[in-house]
Amino acid sequence: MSAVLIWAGAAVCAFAAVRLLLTRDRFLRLHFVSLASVLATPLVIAGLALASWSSWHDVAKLVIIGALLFVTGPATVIAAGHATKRVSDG
Amino acid sequence: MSPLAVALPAAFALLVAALFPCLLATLRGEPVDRLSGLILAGPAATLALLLLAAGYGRPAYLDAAFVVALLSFAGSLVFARFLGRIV
Repeated sequence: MSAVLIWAGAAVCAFAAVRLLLTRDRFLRLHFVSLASVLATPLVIAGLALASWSSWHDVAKLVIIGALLFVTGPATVIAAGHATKRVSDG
Repeated sequence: MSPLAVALPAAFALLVAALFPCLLATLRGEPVDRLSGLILAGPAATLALLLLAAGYGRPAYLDAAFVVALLSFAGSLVFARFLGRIV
């Protein structure tokens, strides 16, 4: 189960990166950017948390890092969206 | 060999490979277009560092991933604010 989750998260991240490169529309690219932090991060964190760690402190640290990425990802994309709209509007 | 021992290096290689499209996206287009590549590189690098920590069995390496997650967020936000203001 752990390996499947990690694989799924890595695959989602790779998919988002490839689609980012292939997509021309500025606003559509931001959707693929947020995919990494909103979908790939929870999958990889869940997979790693199920793996064997020496202490629960390590799992707590993993969850904190995952929560940080999960919360800050959309905030960054929103800020980038505002900047993109200003540039597009001139 | 456990499934995790196979999945960790393979997933790490996939995440490192995902960094190359991000790098290419930061190298072409207008500045605001390059920003999306920079933002995506942050979580990808953080997840790669997490997999390294798990693969080597060194929980102390998680601190590096935490710092990267924090700094990539701050850096991307600063660039987004800067690019939105100079128009």
